[in-house]
Amino acid sequence: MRRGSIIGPLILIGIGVLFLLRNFWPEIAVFDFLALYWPFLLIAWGVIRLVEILFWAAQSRPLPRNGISGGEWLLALFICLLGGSMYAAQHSEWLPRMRVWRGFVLNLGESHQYPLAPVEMPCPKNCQVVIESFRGNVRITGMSDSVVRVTGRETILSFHRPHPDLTNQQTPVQLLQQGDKMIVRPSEGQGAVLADLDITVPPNSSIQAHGRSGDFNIEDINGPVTVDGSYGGEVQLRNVGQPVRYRDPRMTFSCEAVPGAIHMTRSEVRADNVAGPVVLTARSRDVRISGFTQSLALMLDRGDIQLAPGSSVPKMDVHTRSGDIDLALPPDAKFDLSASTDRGEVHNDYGGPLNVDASTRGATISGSVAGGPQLRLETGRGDVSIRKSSTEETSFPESPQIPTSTDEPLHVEHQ
Amino acid sequence: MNRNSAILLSAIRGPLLMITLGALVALDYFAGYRFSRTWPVLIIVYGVLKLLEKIAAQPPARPPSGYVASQDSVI
Repeated sequence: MRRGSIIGPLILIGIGVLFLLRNFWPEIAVFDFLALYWPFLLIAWGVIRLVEILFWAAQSRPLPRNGISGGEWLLALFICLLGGSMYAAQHSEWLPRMRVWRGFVLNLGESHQYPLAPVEMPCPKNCQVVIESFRGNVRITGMSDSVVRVTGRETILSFHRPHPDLTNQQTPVQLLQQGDKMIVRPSEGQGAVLADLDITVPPNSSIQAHGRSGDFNIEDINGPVTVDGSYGGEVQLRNVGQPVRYRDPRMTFSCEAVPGAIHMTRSEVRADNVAGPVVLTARSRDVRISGFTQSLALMLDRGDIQLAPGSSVPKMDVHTRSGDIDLALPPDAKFDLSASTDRGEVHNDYGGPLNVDASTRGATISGSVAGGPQLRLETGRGDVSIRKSSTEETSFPESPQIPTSTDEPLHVEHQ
Repeated sequence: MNRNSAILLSAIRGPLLMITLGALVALDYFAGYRFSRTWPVLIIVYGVLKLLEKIAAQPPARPPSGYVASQDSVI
């Protein structure tokens, strides 16, 4: 700040008062006010500075060459960005794309939660439920009932509080029937809306979800499940009786049924008790699969792999460019194994039928028992270890914990 | 017009631009003139202030002998 100007101290005092107000009297909603009136801050700043300079000129005191210094312009730019973001968040559905900035901006405002008015519609046999792209989390559960029912709540991250009843009218969840399809369309209203939907469907429904962000949790469905989109959140599947297809820009996954559970995050895929053929292609994830059948095709760019097939060992074709591979086989398994690493070590904790051949950099391990299925494991860089699974190790000791959102009950007021 | 007024104009350029910027955004929010359309006003204000400065920094009409204009111009 330029020496002699009162703007610098004024700005500091102003910022302090703002945050103090926000912390002690949140009901005043100062940032809601600022989101609209911040341009007048700039005007006031300019006017004060102008008056100062004219005053100095009148007193024939030396004048600064620049009325507003580079640092002050930077601060003004910051005020513009923040004010503009707050205004946009308040007046439109726009939200900053940068996660950190978005969090910062939204934290300044307040969030309001409203229960969604429940919506339901009868669905014919073999109902196809389509969940359209929206912002938020969704939990889909199969229920022995012939209706599709949507409940949930919505969180409005905005800077001004709309009337709750009005919000319910403005942003209901829409259920649309188009031919055989039942479309769930959460409409987005004023401000930024995050929806937490709880959808129950007839158990034989097929599910198609097109998502953008948030968590997906799908349970007890006896129809095929297709999930595609780009997810910031997690995807959990449990007890799905028909083929599952998952696709995002960094990963594709498919299997024929999920009697157990699958848990996918941005860094990890864990699956327990899935019916194959299982096909998984990903750029960078750690993969742990236990209790799979039929066959497994796994292709990773980077990531560690832990596999523990069930009592009958299926065919496997596993590649990772960089990462360790750990395979636990039942003691009495039949298989035809050939595993290799281009740079790394091989550990044989299985014993007898396997032979290790270590060269200068890489190593291979191979062996077969009673002409069982082919197991091909390859890693470009990493260790390979083959071991015996203990009887209780058809699933991992820390088998996938699938937290359900029932931990945190939805605040739904049934009407 | 003299050198002092040139310095004064230079000093108030920042504050005036700040006021213009604030006013344009306020017009956007309250009067519906979108900033995306009104922003050239900022350039015009800047240009006008620069122009006034130049005019103010012009040497007097009849310079004393040996006067070199470029030495005195403040840009």
